[in-house]
Amino acid sequence: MSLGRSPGGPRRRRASGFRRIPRVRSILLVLLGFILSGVVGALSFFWPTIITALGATGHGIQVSAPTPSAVPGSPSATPTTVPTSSSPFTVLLMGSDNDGKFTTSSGAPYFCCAQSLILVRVNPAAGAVTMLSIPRDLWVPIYSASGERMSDGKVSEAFGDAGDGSSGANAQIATIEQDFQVTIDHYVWIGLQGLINLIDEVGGIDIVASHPVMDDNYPYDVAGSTNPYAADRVAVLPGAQHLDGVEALQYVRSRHDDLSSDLGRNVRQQQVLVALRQKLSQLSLGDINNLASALSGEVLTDVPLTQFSLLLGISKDVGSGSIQHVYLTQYSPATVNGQDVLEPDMSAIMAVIHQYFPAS
Amino acid sequence: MSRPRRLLTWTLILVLMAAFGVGVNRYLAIGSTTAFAPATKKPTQTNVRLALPGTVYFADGGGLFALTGTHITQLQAEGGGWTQPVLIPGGGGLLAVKVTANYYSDLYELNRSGRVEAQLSHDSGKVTATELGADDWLYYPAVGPGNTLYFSYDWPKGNVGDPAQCCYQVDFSIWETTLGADITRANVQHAAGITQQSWANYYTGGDVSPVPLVGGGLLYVDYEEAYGDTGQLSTPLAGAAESTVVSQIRLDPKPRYNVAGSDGTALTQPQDDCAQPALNPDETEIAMICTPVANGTPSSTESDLVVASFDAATGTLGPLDRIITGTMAASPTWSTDGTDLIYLAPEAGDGYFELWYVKDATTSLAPHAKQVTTDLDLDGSAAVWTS
Repeated sequence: MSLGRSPGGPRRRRASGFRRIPRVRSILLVLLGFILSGVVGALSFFWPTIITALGATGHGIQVSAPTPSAVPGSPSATPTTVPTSSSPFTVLLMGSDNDGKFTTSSGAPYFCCAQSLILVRVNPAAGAVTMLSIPRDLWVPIYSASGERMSDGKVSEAFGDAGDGSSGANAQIATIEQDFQVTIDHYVWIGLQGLINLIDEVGGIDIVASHPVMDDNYPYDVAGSTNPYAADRVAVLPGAQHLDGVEALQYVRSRHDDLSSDLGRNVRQQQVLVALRQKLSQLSLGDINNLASALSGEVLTDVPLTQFSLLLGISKDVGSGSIQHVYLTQYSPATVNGQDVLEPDMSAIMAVIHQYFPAS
Repeated sequence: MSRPRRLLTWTLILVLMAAFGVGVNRYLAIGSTTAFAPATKKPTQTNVRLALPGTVYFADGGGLFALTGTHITQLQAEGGGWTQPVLIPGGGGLLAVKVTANYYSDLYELNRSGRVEAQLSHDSGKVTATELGADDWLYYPAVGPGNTLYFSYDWPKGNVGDPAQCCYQVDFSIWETTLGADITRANVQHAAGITQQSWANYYTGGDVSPVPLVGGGLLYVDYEEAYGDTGQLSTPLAGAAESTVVSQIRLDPKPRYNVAGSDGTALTQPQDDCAQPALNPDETEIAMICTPVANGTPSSTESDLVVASFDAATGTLGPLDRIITGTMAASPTWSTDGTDLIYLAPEAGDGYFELWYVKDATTSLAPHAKQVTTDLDLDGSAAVWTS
């Protein structure tokens, strides 16, 4: 019998099998091949972004849980979950000249404070955004990155006191969470040059300036300046203004001739953010390489790459009219240790904060 | 299927797979270039949607342009720092400001073809690069009866003589001279043929947008502290935080030269936060830009186009009629017959400022704005509309 088997018998069976089962397998194989090829194509496109982003994103918030607060129902500072498509979340936006251009007496780089602090609460389901500016000179207890109570200071100093990078961000988050009893889900820190690059990358922004912003002693310490103490003249006139990156930074940073001082800057900062959102909402995923290139080394965030598309989508869905602007003004000028500071009326401030940032 | 055919088929599939991967890569790349491509064009390369009667002179990207019908002519090249063109009455040419960014700005006279006829101010005063306080800004030129020239100038400044204190207080006051006079810091400082017309509220930005009246007197905008303890406000803005700044349109009916405190009369209220006045030719209507104010805080994302009747003889302003709302309107200009308006506002969908037109702005029950220009990003100065 065995001799009777033709050598071609098994081959015929294999051939027969090749025609039936492998056909399905072949189709799957081809599909898989196309998918893999597409993924490789996409990865190769996003590769520069991935490399850049790895250095800037994914920094987790590592803040110890706060000490029990007297405020009933106060939120925890425990790191929270990544936002879903519908759950509200809060982002702390920080802007500063924390680029080490100054040095300490020992010659080590001196990292400064978070000059701009804006809490942004996004409610995707309601299509609503609330922006709340925290005055940088509010005199409050400062906390370390690990949540340890330090001395009192200006709220913005928490960032610089902790050094640079994500440790500064964590200290700033701990300070704001502890002092204002809010939960911060994510943070984004951007440097001066990063803001310039970002605005230039989207072709500038358009605003209506409310009053002349004048300054004969504006710090010219970016955009090619080699002297951190150099100065420039600034005049942004009221009315329709198209601002490039440098001009937009001048607009949000100038304060010497502004009676409103930091309040004026807070208003202008939120105004520029809304104008920037308008431009960013026109972006697609394909723009992420340009964006990453513009922000390389000038941004820190814990927002994972995978959430960028969600944030872009939210940005497109929320109109300017759905953005609520809140400015803390419940303070009085004071002098502490020779420093001009703002003495907060914390009970009044907490009432405002909890109105817009409900305790979770 | 024969082995060679199978081999050929798989080779073809592999090639298609590779092509697909490359296609995905290129598709993403194409997406990036379209979103980041400049959305604006040179004015001479854009399509004008609506033909307006007469000629409109406007500034864009540091250049000067003239729009006649649907044709745009370049008068001065972009990047030249040109802004704020105004017409010299009586068939004369144009005045325009040329800005040297971060330093100073000067006033020039041009003919209507854009050729520079004369430099009327010399505002670069610094000898060394660090003497920033020695430079000056000149903006908002306006020519009144008898070739009287009004302009905003950042003098007097605070503590210019003290380097340690220098350069913090820089506000516009309105000055007046005769068209053609040499405008320099020294001549302004020593009132040599140049007289101060308004006194800025310190640290507010000061006084801008002078509009001379035919019968004498001046409309202008001053910026004031809404809180009311240091400014000129008679009625503090309710709910305003300390140091909030708002604008008011004022009328100085009879200029009292070099008399501090000749602030004139406020025509608008602090809660209206109005600025950028444009007077129609027979001086019976004022178009302006007013910002909605909520809880004592002016909006930073919305500004309305407003029209109100005006009686120059009595200096009274009628009720404010907000004819265009819900956008960022700016820089209104009347037609020569005083019925229609053009103004700047963003095109829907992006933030770029374009020229818009409103027919019968004072009589229409439901004014409807039509977009005039496309693919531009006009700067903050009002256009000039002439017959």
